[in-house]
Amino acid sequence: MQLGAMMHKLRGVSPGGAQGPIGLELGRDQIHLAQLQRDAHGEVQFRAQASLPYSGTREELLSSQRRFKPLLKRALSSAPFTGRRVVTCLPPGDTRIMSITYDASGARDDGAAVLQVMRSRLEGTLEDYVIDYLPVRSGSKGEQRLAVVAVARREKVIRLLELFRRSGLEVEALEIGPAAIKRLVSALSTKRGPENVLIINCGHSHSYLTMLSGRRLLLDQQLSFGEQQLIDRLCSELDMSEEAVRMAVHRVGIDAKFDPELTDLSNTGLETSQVILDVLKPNLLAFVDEIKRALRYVTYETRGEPVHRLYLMGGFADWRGSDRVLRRMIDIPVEKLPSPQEIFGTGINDSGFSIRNGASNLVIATGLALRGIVTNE
Amino acid sequence: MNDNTLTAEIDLVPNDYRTHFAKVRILKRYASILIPLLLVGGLLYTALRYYTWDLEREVEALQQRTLVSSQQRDQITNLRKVADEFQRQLTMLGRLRSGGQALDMFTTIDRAIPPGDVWFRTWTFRRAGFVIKGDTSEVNRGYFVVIPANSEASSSEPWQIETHMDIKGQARDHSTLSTFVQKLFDQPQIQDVRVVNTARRSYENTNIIDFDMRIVVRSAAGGS
Repeated sequence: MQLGAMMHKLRGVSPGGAQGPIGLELGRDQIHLAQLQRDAHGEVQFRAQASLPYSGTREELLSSQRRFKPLLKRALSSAPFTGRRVVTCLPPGDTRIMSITYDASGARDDGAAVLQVMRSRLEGTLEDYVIDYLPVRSGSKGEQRLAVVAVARREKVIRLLELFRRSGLEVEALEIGPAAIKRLVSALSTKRGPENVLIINCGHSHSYLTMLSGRRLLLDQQLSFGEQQLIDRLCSELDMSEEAVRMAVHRVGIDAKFDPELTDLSNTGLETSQVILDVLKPNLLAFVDEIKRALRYVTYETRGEPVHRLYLMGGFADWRGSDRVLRRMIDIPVEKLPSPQEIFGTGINDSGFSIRNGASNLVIATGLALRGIVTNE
Repeated sequence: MNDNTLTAEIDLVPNDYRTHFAKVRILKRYASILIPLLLVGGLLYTALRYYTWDLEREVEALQQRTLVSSQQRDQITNLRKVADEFQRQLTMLGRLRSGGQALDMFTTIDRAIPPGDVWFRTWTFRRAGFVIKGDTSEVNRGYFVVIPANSEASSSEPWQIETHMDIKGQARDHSTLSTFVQKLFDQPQIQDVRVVNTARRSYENTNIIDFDMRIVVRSAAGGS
């Protein structure tokens, strides 16, 4: 072993460069882990990634150390992860994210003013919660200020931290999903320059709008729009089983007519795709209305600056043509968020690297893993 | 609530929880350094103690052996002294034995006695300071050589080997006594004659002279 490599090993750093913490996301059905590192040229690249399904529900997993620890062990041993430092986030249902305006003139500092506002918005005492915030707009004295506040029940936070600690992990930070998404998109924007970006994370039963202005998190909003909602509607309208609907959606998508990869699709296939779109149109219109409302808010907050791009991620983003349909409905560029592997590359560990599931599965885990690897300036 | 700036990140780990486990981690880190050090120190201490104890035991054994040697040396010295003493006494005894016998001395003295004019009441035969007490009436019983019990006391002094006879007796008169002394001097075996005391004693029809006399006999062991 060469001296340099030995020194790296002694410092716990891979020969390629410093590796960051492990980003760990407890998804709805799977645990996602990602770890990044800087190569010899300072470029960020993947060191390891893994996605493993739960044997039960997420809630069952989180309430049982005996279930969680073996799963974590399997996930960590499935790829060349290094260290036990993790950055993670609470499951979406356990965290509330809200935008609040506050007046800091009467308070000792912004934190005290935020707490004052939160006291009136939360049930019980503040001691029952863990609260953190990000200032969004910090005007001069006397002006209303804006912050994105993350709130979680203290008992749930402690339960998760203890679960991780007893499993041998050292939690470096407990974040929120939007912060991880922001970090990933910010890393992507570095290559494109600062932009106002709206990210739509389409979940199973809910979707989340995350608005970024440059590297600032402006807004995080939950919408009652989810992939399952669309599937259920299709099942009921078309009188098809969920499995058949999912297969059809996967095969023809919702915009087959304009899909460059489906030029040889039969007329039946084209019709099926059109039927799916027609059935889902009311849901999509309602969804678009919510998006446009968010866009107006962003325009107001950024004093007229336009939203340059809309990134789509999550289950609905994996549907064929979902980006094109939304682009036509919203009239701004809509893209599927590139997979983290596309953004960072797989680096020196190509041999042990595989994308087992949808490209967007690792977005939050990767965003979490970026903490400490990229600066937040 | 954590401090935040425009560039800060959200972190929902409670400060008190983080601080507590940061301290625990630091303690564990120090403990992970200190405990092995203490263990190594303890082992070294134990090893040194054992080594020291072993050395002390060896030293003690050596001291014991030295003590035994010293005791043995003292014993040897004492035994040599005893042996020397015995040797010296043996030599002395040999010298003493080489001297004239009491019978010869009486014969010699008898030759000097004027017949019927001097007679002895008691006599004591001494040789070299060792008392040889003979029966006052029986001269033929031989003599005893008495070795002093405290040989140490005299071992360092030169022995004056002297054979002499103390005689208490009576003479008819001073002239007779003088003749007797003169005759004794004439005997070659007699070295010296000292009349210690004379006294006249009167009876009803005669006077006699009581005398105390020491006769020193010349012998082969006459030296020291």
